[in-house]
Amino acid sequence: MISGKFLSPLAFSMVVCLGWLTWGSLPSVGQGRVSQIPGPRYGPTTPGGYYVQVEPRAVAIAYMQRPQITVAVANAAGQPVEDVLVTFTPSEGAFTTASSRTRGGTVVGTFTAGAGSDSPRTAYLVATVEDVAVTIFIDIVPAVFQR
Amino acid sequence: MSASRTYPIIVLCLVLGLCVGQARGQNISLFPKEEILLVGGDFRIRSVNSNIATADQQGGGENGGFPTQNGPTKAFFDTRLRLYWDFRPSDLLRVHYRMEIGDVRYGDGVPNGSDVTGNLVPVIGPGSGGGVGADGVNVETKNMFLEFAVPFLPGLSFKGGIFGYGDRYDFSILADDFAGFQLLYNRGDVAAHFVYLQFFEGSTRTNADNSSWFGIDGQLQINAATRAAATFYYWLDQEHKGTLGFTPYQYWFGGEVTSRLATPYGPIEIKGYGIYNHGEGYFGRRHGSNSGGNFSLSGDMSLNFGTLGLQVQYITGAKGSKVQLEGGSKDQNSISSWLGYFSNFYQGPEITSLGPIIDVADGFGSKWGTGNGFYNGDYNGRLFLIARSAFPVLSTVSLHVVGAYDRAAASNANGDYNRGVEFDVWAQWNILPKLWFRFGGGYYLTGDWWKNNTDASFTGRGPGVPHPDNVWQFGTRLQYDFG
Repeated sequence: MISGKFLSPLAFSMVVCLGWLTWGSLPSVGQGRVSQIPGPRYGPTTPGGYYVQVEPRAVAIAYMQRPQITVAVANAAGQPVEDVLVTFTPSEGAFTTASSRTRGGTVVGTFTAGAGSDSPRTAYLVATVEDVAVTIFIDIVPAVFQR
Repeated sequence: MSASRTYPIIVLCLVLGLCVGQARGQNISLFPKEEILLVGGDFRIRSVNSNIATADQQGGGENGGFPTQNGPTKAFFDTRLRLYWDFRPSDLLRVHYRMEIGDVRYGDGVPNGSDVTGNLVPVIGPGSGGGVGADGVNVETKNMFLEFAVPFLPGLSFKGGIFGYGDRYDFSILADDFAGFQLLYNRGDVAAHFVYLQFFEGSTRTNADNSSWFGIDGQLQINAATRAAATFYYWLDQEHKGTLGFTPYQYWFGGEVTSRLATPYGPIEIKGYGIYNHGEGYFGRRHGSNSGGNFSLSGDMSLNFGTLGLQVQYITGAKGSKVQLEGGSKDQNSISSWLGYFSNFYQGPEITSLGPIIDVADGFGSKWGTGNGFYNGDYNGRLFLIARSAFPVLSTVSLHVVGAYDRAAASNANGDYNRGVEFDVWAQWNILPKLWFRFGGGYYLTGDWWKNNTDASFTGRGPGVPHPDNVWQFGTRLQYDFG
């Protein structure tokens, strides 16, 4: 028999632990699972009729950070489209690739701010698929604000 | 086995199990060591030559000052190392630490300081280490905070500790490193945060000496090329209640629109913002209420040969001097607004804004940029026109030319508006990846607003000079950014 003295803490511990285990074991956003990109789709493009999504849409970084940008291309039914050309035009600095074709419906790259660009400002990266251009504004702030 | 031993063992097994589960879920080993530490930072050596701030005689610090007459010049080298440490046991959590060694001025063993009246105060101690033998006391903690993704709520994260925070309006309201908390949300087209900053904390047994800052900021991507943002800040300053008989407070409403427009000549990044400020008796030494607005519109165009940009900023102001406006012969209900706290414009200008060449803290366009911290955006307000450009003359060299017209929105006690005109030229040479060298200078033609202006003194009440010098500053910066 399990005495009542132990039952409450045991039950409580099991609930907490099972909850935590479940949270830790189940994949979630940021833990490796490929997730649907939230936010609106832009398009359709001409002539392909594709829809474009970008993640993240809002980026704030210290000048030495390199945010990862994902561009997803899908058809009208929302299914990923392969081998679609995506071009990238940064206002400064560089992106991993100037252009690339989708694999698994996405192109992933990282943005690097211009060298020596430690003054606060808003840069942008334009991702273009056919005739649709999506602008990602990148707020660049000092790593340390106090000079 | 008795129940008293069995159940603790069961609980222990569950705890170990959950640790394993967590570790597996985060794709890391159970006791990670080498894979969690990221290091970055920057190292710089710079030279500064300027006639700004005769700080050794009248206070104001090396970073500020105001035009004086036949003022001395200064020239020095200094160096600084910043190190950033990121402990990342998973993608969901990090502990960040940022430290600074310096600034160490070459040859500077024991620098003197100045008190609130501007008088020299000798400092006794080992110094910053710039002198012979080094051994300086020169390490500072700049930032340390914990940040993690909140479970079950995608896009929501928490940050707490000491971190940098600044507004999105050219740092017109505040920008510095603070102790506080932040809740951040970033998902889809929405990014928002709530921030709490603690400025002052006296006795922990009472709230009467606190000074707290609350803010909420959000931005929404309206379409593929435009975003809109709004901000509300509220500052409750019980610390400076003093003898006012009420608790000083300030609040701000701000809005901003940023858009990229496509033109036949190239894309233009347009940014416009407006801020309204209202409050009463900030810092406890101002007995009236204050209201004002700060409006800015800028456009930067990318062309084949470089970028060209224009910005106009207008800060409302009141006619008169600090003495008149703050408790003298003028209406006490009309003290200055809090809208030019920092003026950190993109690419400068060097002297009237944060200097992009040598990274001097504040130009005298900011509240902190001058010894008395009482003018420009304050009192008389400001009309500021900036023209800026950048040209990639070589694959590794860019040339930057900036001009600015600085004018008060309302006249000073002498009826003058014109503060001056500034010109800057500087170049950047990217020597190696992440190693760059920047050199150039700025020249500021002082206008009539500075002549015999009592605001242009350390106390803000002293006599002004009849013929203020033009202001110049040039220097070099060699910097390596790593990590």
